[in-house]
Amino acid sequence: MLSEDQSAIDRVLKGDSSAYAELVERHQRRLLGLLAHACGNMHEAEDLAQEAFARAFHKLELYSGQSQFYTWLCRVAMNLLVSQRRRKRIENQLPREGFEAALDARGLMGQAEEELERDEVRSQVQQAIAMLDDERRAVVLLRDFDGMDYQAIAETLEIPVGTVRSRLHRARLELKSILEQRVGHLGALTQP
Amino acid sequence: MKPSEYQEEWLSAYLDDELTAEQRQIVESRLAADAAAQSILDDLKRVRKLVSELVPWSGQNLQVSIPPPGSAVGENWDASSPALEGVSNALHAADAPGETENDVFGSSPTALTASRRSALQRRWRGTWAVSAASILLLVGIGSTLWWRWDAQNLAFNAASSPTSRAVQGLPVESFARSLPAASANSSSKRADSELKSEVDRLSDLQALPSSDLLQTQSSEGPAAKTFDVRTLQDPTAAASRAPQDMAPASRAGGSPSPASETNSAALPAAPVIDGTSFATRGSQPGANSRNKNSLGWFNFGADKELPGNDSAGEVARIQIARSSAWSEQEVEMAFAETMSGLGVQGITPSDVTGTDRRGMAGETEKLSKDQSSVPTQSLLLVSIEPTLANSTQFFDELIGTNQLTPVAPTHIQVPRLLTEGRLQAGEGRGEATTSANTPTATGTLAETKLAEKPAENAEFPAQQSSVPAIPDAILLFLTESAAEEVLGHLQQKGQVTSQIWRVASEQPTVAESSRSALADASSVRSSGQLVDSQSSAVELRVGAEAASKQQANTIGSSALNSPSATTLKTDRPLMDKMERKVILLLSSPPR
Repeated sequence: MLSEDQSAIDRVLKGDSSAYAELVERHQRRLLGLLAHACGNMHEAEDLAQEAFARAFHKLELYSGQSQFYTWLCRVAMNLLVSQRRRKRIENQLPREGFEAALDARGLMGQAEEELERDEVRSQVQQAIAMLDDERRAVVLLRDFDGMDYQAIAETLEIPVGTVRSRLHRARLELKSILEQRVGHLGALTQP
Repeated sequence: MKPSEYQEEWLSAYLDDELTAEQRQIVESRLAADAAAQSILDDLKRVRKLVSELVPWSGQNLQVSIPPPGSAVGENWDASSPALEGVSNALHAADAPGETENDVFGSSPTALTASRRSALQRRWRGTWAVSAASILLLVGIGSTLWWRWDAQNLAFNAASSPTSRAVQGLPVESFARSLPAASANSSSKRADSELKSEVDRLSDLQALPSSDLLQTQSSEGPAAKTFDVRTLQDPTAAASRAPQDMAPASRAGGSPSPASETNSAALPAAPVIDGTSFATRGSQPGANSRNKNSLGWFNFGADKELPGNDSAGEVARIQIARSSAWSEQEVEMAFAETMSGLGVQGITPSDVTGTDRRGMAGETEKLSKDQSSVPTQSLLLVSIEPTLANSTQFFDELIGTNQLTPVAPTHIQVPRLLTEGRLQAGEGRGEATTSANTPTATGTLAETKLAEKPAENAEFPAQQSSVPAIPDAILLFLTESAAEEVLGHLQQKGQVTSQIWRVASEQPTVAESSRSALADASSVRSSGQLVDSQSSAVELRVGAEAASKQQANTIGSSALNSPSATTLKTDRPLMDKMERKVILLLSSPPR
C-alpha cells in the first residue's frame, strides 16, 4: 500500500489530479471510521473527512513521505477536528456540546439488528469514549480502534512518543473507570 | 525518577509491545510480584479489546468531489467550493445528484452531505446577515478613523486646512462661502463634492474644544449638528486633487519642482506641513510629549477628541506577524493599503525601518499595481484586554502558538505628529518653509512645505528614543481560518473584550443592497462574538457607489444608533471572496 500510495501521490504531483481518487478510495473508510468515533456523529465525520481530503490535496506538496500517507492524512483530519471543536465550543458557549451528540450516535453505525447485546456493549463504549477529553479520545482511538503504533500516533498528533504512552494509559484507565461506573465490572462487557 | 524505574504507564505500553527490552523485563518482574499490577493490566486489556471492537465504518463512501481535472496541488481546491457556487440549488434539492452512490467519486462536484448542506446554508445566511450588519459598524469605525485622519489631513494640507485659515484669522464660514467659486474652478464634480464635504468637516471641527482645534477660534457659535459620520477620503484621490483645487503655492504660483511633483504624486500622503499650525502648537507647553493613546486609528470608537496639545502621539509600535500564507511582499503591500484605508496617510513599512519614505512609497505603488499579489484584504478589528495589547509576551505567545513569522516593521509613525515633534525639538529633521497668504484657486491660503529631507536623514535613530518598547497594537496577516483559530484562542481565554468587526468591501455594486442591508443592520449594536456569529459580528460591504454624501449620511444616521458610531468608506475593494487572507488587528478596547 505504501508504494501504491506513493505512486498515486507522485502522479498527483505531476498533475494527474484524478490519481487522488485512488488515495481517497483507499483510505476513506478507515478515516471515516476513526472520525465517526472521534466525532460521535456520522455526518460530521463525513464532512471532516471530505475537508481532510481536500486539505491534504492542497498541501500534498508538503507531504514528505517520511510517514505513511494515512498517518499524515490523519494528522490533517485531527487538526481539523480540534479546530472544529474549538470553534463550536466558542460559538455555542457550550463545552463538550459536540460530544453529547455522541450519545445519540448509537444505531447510526449500522450494526446488525440481531446483535443487540453487542450493540449495547458498543453503545456503552461509545458513550464512554465520548466522555473522554479530546486528547485522550484521539489517542485511544488511534491506537485501539485504528491500530496505529505509538510512533505514528505521535506523528499524527504531533506530540512526543512519551506523551502518547502516558496519555494512552490514562485514557484507558479513565475508560475503565467510566465503564465500571456504568456496568459494574468490565468483565461483564467482555466476552470470555 | 530513574529511567529504569517501573512506571505504571508502562503497562499500557507493555500491552502494545511498545517497550524496550529492558523496560519489558522490568514490567514482567513487577507483574510477577504485584497482583494489583496484573489486575490493572487485565483491565487495560479489556478496555483495549472493547475499543477495538467498535464497529468500523459501515456507511457509504465519501461523496467527496475530486479535484477537477488539471487541478494542481497547491491550488485552493476545496471539495466544498463547487458546492458553494451552486449552494442555492443544492439547498433546495431534496435529492441532490451527489447524494447517490454513483456519484461517490467526483462525478458530481455539488455532492453534499446533509450536514454540509445545512452548514453551508447557515454559512450563506450568516454571510448575508453579517454583511448587512457590518455596514452599520463599519460606518462607525470610519467615523473615528476619519476623525483622526481628517485632523491629520487638515494639518498636513494647509491648502485645504480650515484650521490653518482660522489660525490666520479667517473664519471658517468664509472658507465655506468660497466653495462655490472653488467649485466653479473645478471641472470635477467629484472634487466639488469633496470640497463640500470639507465644509461639513469644518462644521464638526468648530464643535470641538478650541484647544483641540490647534487653538482655532471661530467667529461662529457651535456648528449645527452633523452626522458623526465621515467618509474616508481616498488618499490617492486627495493627493491628486490637491494640485487642482487646493493647489499649494508652489503649484499655483510658481513652477513646481520635480521633487515636489514626485513627492505629491508618488506618496499617498505628501507631507505638506501646516507650519503655521505648528508654530501655534509649538508654543503650547507639552506639545512634544507623547501620548500613544491619542493615535486614533487603532483606538476605535469612543475617543473622538483630537490629540490635545500635550498629546502628540507620534509613534505607534505595531507588532506584525504573518502566517506562511502571506509573503513578505504581500504583507508590505497590504500594510500600506491598510494604513491608507484606515486613514493613516503616508505610512509604509519603510517608515519603521527608516528607509527613505519616497523610495518605499514608490515601491509600494509599484506593488499596488499588482493587485493580484494580494488576493484579498479583509480586516478584522478586535479589541482585546488592554494589558495584552501592551505586552510583548502576548505577542510572542501569539506567534508561537500560531506558528507565525514576525515581520520586521514594528513601528509606524504619524508623519504630522512626528514631524511636528521634530520641528519643535529642533532636531533638523526637516526645515519648515512657510509661504503664507499665497493666492490659490481657493483663496488665500497658507502653506508650509517640508523641505526635502536629506537622504541620510537620521530620522529614526532619534525617534527610537521615544518609541515605546511595548506594542500599541498587533497586526496579524493570516488566512481566514487561521484568524478564526486565533480568535478562538483569544475568545476561549476571555481575552477578547469586545468588538470583532470585519471590514470588507466588494466591487462597487452596493448602492441598493447597502441601503436595504442597513435596515436589517440597524438593530446590531455591539459585537463580542466570533466573526461568523450572526448576532454579533459584522461584515461590511461598501463600494464606491456608497460614497456619495447622501448615502454616507444615510449610513451615518443608522450608525449614530450604534454605540461605536463610525464610518469607513473606501473606493477600493478590500475583499472579494469568502475564503481569503485576512488581516487581524488586535488593540486595546476603545476608551
